[in-house]
Amino acid sequence: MGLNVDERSLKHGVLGLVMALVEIIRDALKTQAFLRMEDGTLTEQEIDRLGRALMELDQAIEEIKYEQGVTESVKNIRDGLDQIVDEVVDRILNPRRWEEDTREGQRKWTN
Amino acid sequence: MDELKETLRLIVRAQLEELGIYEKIEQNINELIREAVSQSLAELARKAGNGKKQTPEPVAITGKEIETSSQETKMRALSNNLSRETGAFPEGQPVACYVYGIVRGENQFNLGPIGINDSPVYTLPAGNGLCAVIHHCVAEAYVPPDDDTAKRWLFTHQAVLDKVQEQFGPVLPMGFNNIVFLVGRDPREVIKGWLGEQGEYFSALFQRLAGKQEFGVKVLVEEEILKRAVLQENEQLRSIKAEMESKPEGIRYMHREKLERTVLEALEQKAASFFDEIYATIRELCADIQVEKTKKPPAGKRLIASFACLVAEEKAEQLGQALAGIERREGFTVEFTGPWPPYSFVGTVHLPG
Repeated sequence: MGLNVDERSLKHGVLGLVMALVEIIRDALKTQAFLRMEDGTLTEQEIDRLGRALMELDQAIEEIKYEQGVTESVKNIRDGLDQIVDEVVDRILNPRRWEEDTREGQRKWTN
Repeated sequence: MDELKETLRLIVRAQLEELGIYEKIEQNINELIREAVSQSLAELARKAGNGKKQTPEPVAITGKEIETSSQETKMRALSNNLSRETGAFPEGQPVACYVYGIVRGENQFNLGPIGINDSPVYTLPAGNGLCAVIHHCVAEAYVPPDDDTAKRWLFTHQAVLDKVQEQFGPVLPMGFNNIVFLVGRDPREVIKGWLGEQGEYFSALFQRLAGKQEFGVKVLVEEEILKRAVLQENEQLRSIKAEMESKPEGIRYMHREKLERTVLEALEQKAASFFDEIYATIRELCADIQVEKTKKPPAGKRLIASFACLVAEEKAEQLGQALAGIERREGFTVEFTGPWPPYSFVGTVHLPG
């Protein structure tokens, strides 16, 4: 099976991946910011500064995605990642899956 | 340029092989493609199902994939020379067998050329009261060249099962593309051995499924209705909204973002509580029920619940009424399909080969 990679789609793909990562990091930052905000360790002023910084980050991300035309591929990458994480968590939390995995493994070995 | 590409390809391949993951990647990609194909097939069949009944995702039984080890390549090259239609029937030794499902019976019975690509279908008795419904084919999965063919094949598969059920009673259905093939062995013998080994299990299954049918139930709700329900219930959300007024830009931003997240969480919770409610309503009407993996719903709607229900014949109407009750609620849509052969309740059956 050969992989056809042309230069443009490669750039597209890598940029999409990078932007997806940036977004994920941004979301993690936001979560942290909300936690700080709620436990009351931030002053009004600090919250305002934090908010503005995050807002600018939002705008910058949207602009880059729009200019480079990767909005759709970023979304797809993130959806794909979400799905993978869901599956991993499902496997960890659901003992029935372990059994299935073991059976699957044995089947592969015995065949 | 081409040379460069070729060199790059070789380097990448060598690296991957050195890492010992080349085969793994190949395998993963194969699995991905197979999954994608079977999903879109099911989707297509569902779309096409307006006139006829809809096709459930045939995921209950996934057959063992045909191995692609080098040892078999020769065999496969051989079998490629045979066209599918000439899979000898039923006297000559077949290369492989496509399995539609399992029925009870003692005799071989020819059903005629009703199979995929008009293959002659017949029941293959194992001698212990079980028969496999098969046709002869080559040792390769059916890969549809286009969407129409895919649809036709899926409907044919379903039609064969319908016909078999009509003639022989309950059937344990297999999903699409379950093919038995073992190098150097008659697939019919392999199937007989398998049915013999698993005889007790299948007989128990037949007993459990007697007089019951499978129905697909999907409940969708309009996103807007869900949102309204959430906002009405949730005091916390209103207080955030009030807080937002007359604050500096950065703070407004933070609160707005937080509000969005809170709404999303509340929506999830609301959807989950609807799920619990619906599950509780229909559970007692079903002999067995399976929660299906959720698929992407149409835009503006949220999939609340997706079930495969095993229902005793006399309970089917009650189930229909319960679902009609749910459908009457504002913004709710219920998709109710069936009756189907019990695809989702035959467990995971691994084909030999």
